[in-house]
Amino acid sequence: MWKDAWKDLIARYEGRLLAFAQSRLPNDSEEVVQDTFMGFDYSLPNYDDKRCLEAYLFAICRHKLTDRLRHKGRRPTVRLPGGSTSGRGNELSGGIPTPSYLVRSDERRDIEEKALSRAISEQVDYWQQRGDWTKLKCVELLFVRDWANNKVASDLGITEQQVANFKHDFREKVKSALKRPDVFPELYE
Amino acid sequence: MATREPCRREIQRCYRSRDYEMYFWLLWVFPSGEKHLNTCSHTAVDCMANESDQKFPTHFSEDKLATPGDSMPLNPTQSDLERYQDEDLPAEEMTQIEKLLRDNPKLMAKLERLNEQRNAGVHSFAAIWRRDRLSCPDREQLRSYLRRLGAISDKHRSYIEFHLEKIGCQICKANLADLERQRDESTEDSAVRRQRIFQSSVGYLQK
Repeated sequence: MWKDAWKDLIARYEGRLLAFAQSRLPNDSEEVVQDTFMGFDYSLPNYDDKRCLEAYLFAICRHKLTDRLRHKGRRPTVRLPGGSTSGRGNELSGGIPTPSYLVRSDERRDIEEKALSRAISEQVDYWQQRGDWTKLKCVELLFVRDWANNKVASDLGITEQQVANFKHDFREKVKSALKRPDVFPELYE
Repeated sequence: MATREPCRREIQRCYRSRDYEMYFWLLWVFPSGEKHLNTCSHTAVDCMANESDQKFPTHFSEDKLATPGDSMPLNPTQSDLERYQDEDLPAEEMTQIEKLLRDNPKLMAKLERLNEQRNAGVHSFAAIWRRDRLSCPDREQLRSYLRRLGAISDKHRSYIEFHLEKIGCQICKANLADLERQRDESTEDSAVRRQRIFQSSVGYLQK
């Protein structure tokens, strides 16, 4: 039974993971995919089934890819807090955990991230349903690609004023969705 | 209930108490904060990572990252560096940033500070958007895009192309490449490959 489930999982996601790995490591891509599935098996106890499985597998795949690239010396090693080059840091430079870090637990952060994700998603879905593709493109370039207003305007063939309006409108909508006492009490009174 | 606009002092308090998450939240959601951020020459990375600076930031270091919108990859923005860390840029841009990092200690220092923020759990708007794939087309839409089916409108098709090429979403590109391979590759080839992965992993599973 579990073997069938494992086979189904591989059949469903192997192709897209392979294509992702091939763009960076054409010769080792199959090993990366295999490591990804093994990593998924190891991490199953921590997997939140409310999360998108595909996104979760791609996140594991990215880590496996990075490990291999680093092992091959292709990816520069980045020093992490405390002078370590691996592991997960839990403090800012200086070795002293920040008060905010101690107070704002992982749980709280998780709630905040989910609230933000939901707020953005509502607006994106709304625009997609209405066919407001220009607004969506505009906001995506501004916030995901980090482009400046004038560059976005030039690229999309709209005025800078329109870009500013879309940006303002989007922020207001997200801000409004976040004003909930259980998520951001600081924004709610 | 009335919404309370935080004054500059409240933003300042968040910064001084190193409550960086709330500090940037306030800057992001309130126009007064945005105005401050726009007139300030600090980068977000400097602002959050420079612990020795106990004053409210009024100026920024000169070695700031690129102005948003500068061409990649000679001048990667903070968003580009985040995407580099997440293996979420096209392969050519990834390679170019790797080279830049080897040659440019300042850029490497920026990346290290960015890592510090992320490890400390600071929210990144773009990272949440990308991680949760909030604007990605689903697989059926990609299939329609690939086969030029009439299930999606021309404007929708144009958006998918934009998402793939201009945003450069690597997961959607991988999905599209997979769909193309399914179309072109023989069923036998893919079955053999899947069987190989299955056989090499099934023995290690934690049942």
